[in-house]
Amino acid sequence: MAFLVAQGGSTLYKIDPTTGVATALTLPTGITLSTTRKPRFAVLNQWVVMTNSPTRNIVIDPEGVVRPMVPRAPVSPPLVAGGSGTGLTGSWKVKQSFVVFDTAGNLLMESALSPSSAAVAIVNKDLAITQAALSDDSISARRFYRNTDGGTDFFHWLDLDGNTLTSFQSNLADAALSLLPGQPDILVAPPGTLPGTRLKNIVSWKNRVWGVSDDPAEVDTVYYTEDGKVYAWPNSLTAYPIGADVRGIVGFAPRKDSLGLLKRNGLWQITGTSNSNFSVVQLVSGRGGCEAADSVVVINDRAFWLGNDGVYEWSSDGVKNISDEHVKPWFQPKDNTYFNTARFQYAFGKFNAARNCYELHLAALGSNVEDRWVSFNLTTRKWYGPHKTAAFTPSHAAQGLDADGLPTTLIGGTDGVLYQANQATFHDGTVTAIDFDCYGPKHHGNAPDILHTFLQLSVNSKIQGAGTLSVTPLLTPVSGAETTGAAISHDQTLGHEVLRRIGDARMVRFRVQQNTVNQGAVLYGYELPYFEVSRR
Amino acid sequence: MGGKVDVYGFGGDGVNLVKDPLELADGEATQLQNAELVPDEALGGEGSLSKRGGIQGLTSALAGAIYGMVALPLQTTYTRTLYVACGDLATGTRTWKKTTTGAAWTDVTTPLLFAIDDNYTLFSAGNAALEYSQRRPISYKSQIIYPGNAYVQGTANPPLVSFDGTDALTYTAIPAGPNSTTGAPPAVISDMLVANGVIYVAVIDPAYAGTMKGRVLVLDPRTGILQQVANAFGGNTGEQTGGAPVCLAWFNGQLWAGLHNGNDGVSTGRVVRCYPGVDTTWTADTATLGGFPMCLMGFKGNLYVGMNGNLGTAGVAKRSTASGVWANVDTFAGGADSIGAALIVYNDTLYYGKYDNAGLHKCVIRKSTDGASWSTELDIEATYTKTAGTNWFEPKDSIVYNSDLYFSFRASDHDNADGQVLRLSGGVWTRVVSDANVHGPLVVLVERS
Repeated sequence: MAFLVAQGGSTLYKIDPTTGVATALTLPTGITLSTTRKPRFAVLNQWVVMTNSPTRNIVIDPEGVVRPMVPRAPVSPPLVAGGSGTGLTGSWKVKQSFVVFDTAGNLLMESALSPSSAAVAIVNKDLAITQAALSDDSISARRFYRNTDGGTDFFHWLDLDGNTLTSFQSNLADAALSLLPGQPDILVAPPGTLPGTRLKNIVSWKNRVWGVSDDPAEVDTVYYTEDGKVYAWPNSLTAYPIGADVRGIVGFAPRKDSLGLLKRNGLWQITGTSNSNFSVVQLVSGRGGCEAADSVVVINDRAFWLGNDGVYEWSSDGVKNISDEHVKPWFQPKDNTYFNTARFQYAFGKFNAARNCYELHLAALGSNVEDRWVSFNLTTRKWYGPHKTAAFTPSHAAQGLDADGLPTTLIGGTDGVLYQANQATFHDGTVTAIDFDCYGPKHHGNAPDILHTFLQLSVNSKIQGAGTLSVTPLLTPVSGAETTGAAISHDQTLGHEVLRRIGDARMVRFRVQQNTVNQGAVLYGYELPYFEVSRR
Repeated sequence: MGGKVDVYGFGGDGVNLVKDPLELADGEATQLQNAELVPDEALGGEGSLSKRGGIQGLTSALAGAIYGMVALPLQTTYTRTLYVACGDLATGTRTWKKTTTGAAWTDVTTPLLFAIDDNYTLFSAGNAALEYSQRRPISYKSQIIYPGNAYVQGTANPPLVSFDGTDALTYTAIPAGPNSTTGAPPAVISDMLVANGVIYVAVIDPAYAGTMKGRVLVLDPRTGILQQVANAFGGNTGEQTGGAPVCLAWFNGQLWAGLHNGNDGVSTGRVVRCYPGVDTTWTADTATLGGFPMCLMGFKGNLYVGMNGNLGTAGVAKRSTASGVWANVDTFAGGADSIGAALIVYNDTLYYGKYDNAGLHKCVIRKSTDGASWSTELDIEATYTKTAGTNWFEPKDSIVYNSDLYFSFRASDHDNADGQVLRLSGGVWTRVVSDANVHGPLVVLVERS
């Protein structure tokens, strides 16, 4: 059974997609969620990685247990000296980490290692550890690494259960250490392990988690984990040039064989399959950058995002603007009469699987909240909208899953409610009508300069159990501005209805409206006979 | 001239704000607010413009604006059921009892019978080692695995059986070991443990007169392969002396085993340890305990052992990790047949069940928050009565389930209805299983929904 994880206010919830019951999850001690930074999620190995809004990176397991993604490393090495026992002669150094196990004793996560202790030479003694570091996090054990006599590689020596004791002694011989050296080099903690910096965005790709820091000096660098490990972040790649834009990498676009790094001024691409061949190259510069991290949605190996002058699509056909051809005015940065371009950076997108649409939430002109959205139908490759609801103000959106793991469309509201779209009942929220309001094309019979007499309008619609459609003719007179005719009511229970005569005009178009609670509407089409009256 | 405008698929070609208004096609529009194409003929079809569907609340209002969400096609609902092994041979109507509430228990017969008490008491010599073995079942992924009863001791290999909530199966059987006299099969599986993703199994091998024998095996559940850990226990050359393994623990990166010598010969309590896969022999960490180990548990960085007091009055001993020194921390008033069993950590406190073979109230639950000073948490016999007699039988197992602590007390025989289970919940003890043929082992089965 699928489930949802959502941040509502400063609380993290696990939500049953069938009942909607939300269970608050307990955050690790000292970790809080910001209400000014949006959470970013990635999933790897059945764990949800959550960054940006938490004061430290966290992971959530399927049962809702929340842990720091990486325990903080011991800040200092343990003290090592010859103990009271016997058995060892040589010179040794020790490092320490913090580890978390599951109930079967499997390693879940491990911190970075402490610095190495000073080398201690002993003769026929055991090794005594004192001042072993204690963790501020909830851990299972302290893990100790030791070199072989005089060696440079560190081997797993032993685990000290719990988080209480600070001293022990052992005479374990070098031959009994783990067969292979430890991999201290992979135990690197990413930004967000300590408070102060955060992973502002993350994504899962090629069985690794990839992230970018909000540190202004590192916004062009991508950190990524070891294969399958959420706690080991030793790797990085840089999308050069660095420092060209204060926001650096804005978003990630994970495709089948490429990971897109989206900056405001272009697209970079990571390809490869392993550490040995991951590489980054720039694909697009100038146009095609990304304004909003949450606008990036990848659908069937096609990535969509909001750029600074339109919506872009990246597929095997390359990068192209998909809004210029039909709705360029919606996204033009200057003199935009539709949307508040200053809030483009806060736009968020989602995939509406039921309608096969990429949907992008934007702020209406003059608005400071994302109270409108537009849809790009991937089947027709046409745009629809702008849409709105009077029931609530959207604050985030995403593709969801129902209890069977099948796709749904989710919209979060500033009212704290998580909503589902595409519902069969035609209302928003609990009782708010959906304001269906469309303007069609102008009809002029290929003679826009000739006065026409438009006769009776015949409307075809899907038969409904009740309700009416309001059809308002907008008439372009011989001269002067368009005038609004009297609205005509179409009875939806009829399916077909011949309505009144429209009248004289050079051109006419129709506004089709309905704003009735629980009432659907489907317009198949209309017919409008006319004859030319005169030419002036 | 005249004509007719025919618009089929109003708005279906989407919004077009780029074209000259006079050039818009019949299917284009300048605004399509709350309109969509529904790819379903019954609802209009792709060519027809429909009012969009509703957007309705899934949840009630959470603590504030929704800032983000992620949907996860992952398993989330695990049903955890607590089982206690019973020993009903007479009627066969109760191999185990189970509960999901902790309060209401039902009898079940589907899981195979846990190796009954007879297997641990039949042999005259070595009885104590067998009888006081910890004999815990284990929970591994979505099944429980435990010693089965379907074998004839001394003739057949003792089986490990499993139960996943539906199917009860024989998992594997423990073969005779190289230290077995005349190749006779092992007598019993004395304890089990899951650590590092594998299953450790302690077994007691024949013969039982004189030096006790046994082995610790590791079972890889991915391959089903059983391998011996370090050397065997016994008196032959190359074997670890001091008794047979009766309890296991994973502590500080090592496997620890408590040995019981069955009261044969001169010996004292012994705990051994090794690095599985690295060590070829066990290291005796102590050979001077004042009792025979019955259970081992790590607590606040140190290792504790609960003991059978046949060597004296030592009840619980602590091994200091810092010094490696063992010292008694709780004692019995009585000696022989007293036991300190079922050590467990619950809410930062170490508990164990004490059966003190002295005085009237023999059975109590003891606790300590520091491992040094101990107090009686519950005087069981002063609190609860039972059907037969005053004295309870020995505490056998303990477990934490749904944030509550459970202790089981085994029946005096497999068909005797005088076993009990107690629960500590919210600071209050309750007897949740009364007067049943409880054998003792507790385990939680985790089932995927």
